[in-house]
Amino acid sequence: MDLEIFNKCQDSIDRDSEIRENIRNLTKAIDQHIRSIVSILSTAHSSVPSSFPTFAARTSKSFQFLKEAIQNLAALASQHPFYKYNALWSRTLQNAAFAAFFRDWLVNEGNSYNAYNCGSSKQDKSDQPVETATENEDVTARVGQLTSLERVCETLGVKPGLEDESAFHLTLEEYLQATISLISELSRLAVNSVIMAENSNYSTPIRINYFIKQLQAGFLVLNLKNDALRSRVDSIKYDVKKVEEVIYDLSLRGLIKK
Amino acid sequence: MSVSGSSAISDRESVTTRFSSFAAALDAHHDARDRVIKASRDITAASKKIIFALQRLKYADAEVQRGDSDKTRIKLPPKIDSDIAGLGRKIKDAFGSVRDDLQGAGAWRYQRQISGAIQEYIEALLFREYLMERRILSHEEVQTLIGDEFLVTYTDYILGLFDTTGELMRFAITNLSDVTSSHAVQVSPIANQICQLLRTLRIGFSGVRVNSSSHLSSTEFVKKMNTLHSSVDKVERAVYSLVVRGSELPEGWMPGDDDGDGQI
Repeated sequence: MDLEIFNKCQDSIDRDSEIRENIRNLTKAIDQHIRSIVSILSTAHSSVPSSFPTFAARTSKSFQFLKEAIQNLAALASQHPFYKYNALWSRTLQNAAFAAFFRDWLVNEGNSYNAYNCGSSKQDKSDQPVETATENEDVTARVGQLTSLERVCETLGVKPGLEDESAFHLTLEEYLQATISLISELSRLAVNSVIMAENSNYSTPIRINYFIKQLQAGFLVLNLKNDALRSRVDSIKYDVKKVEEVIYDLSLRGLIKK
Repeated sequence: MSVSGSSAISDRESVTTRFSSFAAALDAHHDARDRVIKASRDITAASKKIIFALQRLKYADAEVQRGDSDKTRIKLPPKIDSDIAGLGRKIKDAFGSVRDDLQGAGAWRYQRQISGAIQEYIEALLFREYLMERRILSHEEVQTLIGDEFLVTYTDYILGLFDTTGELMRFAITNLSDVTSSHAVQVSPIANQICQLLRTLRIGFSGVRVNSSSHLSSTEFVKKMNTLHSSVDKVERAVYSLVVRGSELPEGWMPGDDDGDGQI
């Protein structure tokens, strides 16, 4: 028999582990940038919602670094079939997408909160029940949108994978997983935004409630298999419940208007 | 609570519309994956049947002298031959049914789903070729036999080869002895050759360094390596005991008398 087989076997192992090692190192660099972004964004839990856009803006430099780090990975990964090594960075890109979602959501929420705040102080002065209806519409009219796949890809500097599966891209599963991370993060924020609210402006949980219910409805459209995505989708209902309890507590005490 | 209102409804629709397009993509992925898993099961089952059919072969009866040299080759009994051909067609059909799913990005996307089947089929191909021609097919030859449109990784080949050694061990044990024309019992040439081959593989692979970060994971490799060790042991012990008992057998018989290398 051909004894070359053992050398070939060794070569194949060595080449493969070298590539994996290189990909892991680039992935670690990305993780570092994600951590610094998320740590800035996490101050949302201990800040007044009106300040969200201010510190979200502080992440723009880190997002730039993140984009560059992802491009380094994309350059290396593009030399190999996409799905061969996808599992090595899948989690990382998922977290990166989450960071982008969370930032976009916070920017929008800060503005919505401020808008509502102005509205409610106006209303306090005039104190007319007529205003209540229009104002309530305002609360949900300014609910954040889930950042689209295209925009997340733009933020991260990758292609959306729906048309060309061979190029380096953010997969649909990664996008959906990141969405679920956002839901879970916001369910925590719903509680903390009440703690931090100023002038009895408890509009943030209402918007969070509305936003995650939209997403929950979205996930119901999907036919899920018994896989990783499925088990996380199943967890959404607990996050929804958590936010509903906040809304319940607030409305029971008349802290939000019906 | 303020969850009604005109803008609210349109928002809800836009999210579900967007998710509907995701649903189509996810469904296509799940369907492809299911087809691959099904084909994979069919290929695995048929490959196992090929291996069993070959294990039923009585080597001594199937042996025919080759015209050109003193090497022997074998002729499969018609029943086994037609069984294998039928199973081979089934395997081709199963591969054909997922050809499109395993093209382009799909080759690696569903690699984990098809990999087991490919290893099993490689095992059948290697085993058959060894019994017929006494040689081990190379990775390239296996790739050609399966078809260039399918991804056959080197890892699949190596793991398939490891599994083949188990089958060879079983075959060597069931075809351990030969009765010569002078009615003496001896270790069959095929058992001897398999014993040699397994030893070569054992030595060769024991020199391979595996790395936990490689595709061929070290735990899997070590497990297969242990199986190979015990296969070599089993064949060696079987040959040994036949040699020992052979001394009690009819006179005139010497170990290694009738086969070329005689290294037991």
